[in-house]
Amino acid sequence: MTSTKPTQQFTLPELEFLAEDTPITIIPTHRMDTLHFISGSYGPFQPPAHIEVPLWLARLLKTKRRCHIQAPTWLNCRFLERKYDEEQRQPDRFSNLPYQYLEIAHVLVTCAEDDIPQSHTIKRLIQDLREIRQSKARAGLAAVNPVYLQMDHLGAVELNEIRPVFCQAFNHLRKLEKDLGDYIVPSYEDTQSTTSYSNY
Amino acid sequence: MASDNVFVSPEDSVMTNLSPMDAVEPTVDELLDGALSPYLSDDQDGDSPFVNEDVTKLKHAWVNEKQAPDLLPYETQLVEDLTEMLQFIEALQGEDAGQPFTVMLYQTEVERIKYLLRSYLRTRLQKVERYAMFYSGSEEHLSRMSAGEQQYIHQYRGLFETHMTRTCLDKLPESLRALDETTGNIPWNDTAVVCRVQQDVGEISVTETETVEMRRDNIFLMPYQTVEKLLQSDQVVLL
Repeated sequence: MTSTKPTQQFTLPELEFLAEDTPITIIPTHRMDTLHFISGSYGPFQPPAHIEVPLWLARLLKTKRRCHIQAPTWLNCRFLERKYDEEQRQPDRFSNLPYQYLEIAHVLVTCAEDDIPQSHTIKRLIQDLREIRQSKARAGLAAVNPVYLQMDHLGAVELNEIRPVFCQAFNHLRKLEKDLGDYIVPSYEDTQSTTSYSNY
Repeated sequence: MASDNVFVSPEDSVMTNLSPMDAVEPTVDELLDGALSPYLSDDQDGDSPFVNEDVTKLKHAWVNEKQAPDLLPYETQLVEDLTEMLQFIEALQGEDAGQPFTVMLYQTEVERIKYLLRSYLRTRLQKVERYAMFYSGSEEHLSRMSAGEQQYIHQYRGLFETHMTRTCLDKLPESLRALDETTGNIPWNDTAVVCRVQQDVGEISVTETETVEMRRDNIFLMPYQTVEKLLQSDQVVLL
């Protein structure tokens, strides 16, 4: 283990892991008794009754062809199109999407493409949404100030992406503001933070 | 899917009504208020009574630990409970294999929780190593560590001191040889973190003159020291 500065960044697989406890509705194709997991009990699985399970279980069952996945209510063309319009109409704020929408959509589109109606259009729409939100998030850098910044409805992946730059900018502005009042010799940790960019 | 509808129970038909393919189309607001709420945060509150919150809590603990610049109190109870559960499940599987498919499902969950535990403990150890000199002299930080971590930090400090003395300090004039809590890295609590408000907090002051209202689900970029208290009382989580 190295003693480099611990990074605040998550990797994309880590973010996906964190999103995999989201409940998802499935339609099992095989009968199965109730499963007693450490995190909770799910079942009994009685096709074709719908049942809610965590995403990781849904993915596992899907890859073993033991269920069909029902796309979440927000993962359909009409809803995403409306969200895209909303994004365009409000250039200064983000529309309300699930916090982990990119991760969930990615898992579902990769493992259950056949269960999601119009999955190609959905992929395109998600990509469009991601791009318009990304450019908004980047434009938000201008709003960084040394006090606080409110950024409601930002997604996990988007946040993780802008965090290094935003936090650095914030920390520098804070230091500058402080230094204006009284000159402080930068401590070891402060000087480190300016060079730790390569960690990201 | 349409043919399945003949068999669905009343609860299930509610879900199918929400399906986008149906004739009754919910408005965006309805979707947001009702159906979306379980997805809005990664918490699974309001679920069936069989849900064990420990895994969700540990997930938060890991994310908080990863984001916070300073060491947070060790989740003794949580780690103990989950470790016990893991051992119990693994012992159970050793005795009675059961159906290979269900065993595989259980094993997957066990691996997921183990991964989470490892990530949590590793993130802490990274901090312990980086701030070893400072933490080992601070009663407050030592009290936030588990017995294992305390042992680790003392041994690490010993090794570090021996190494530094042998490689360079011995060759320096005596007045420059000091190696104490103030040498090395010190956590910097004024650094920026991103947090989500879990419940309405109301106004908090961010500077001498300015206040900001924190409502549920708001996301803020703020200095860590501003939200430190709120984090301890679980009113915010770091993201």
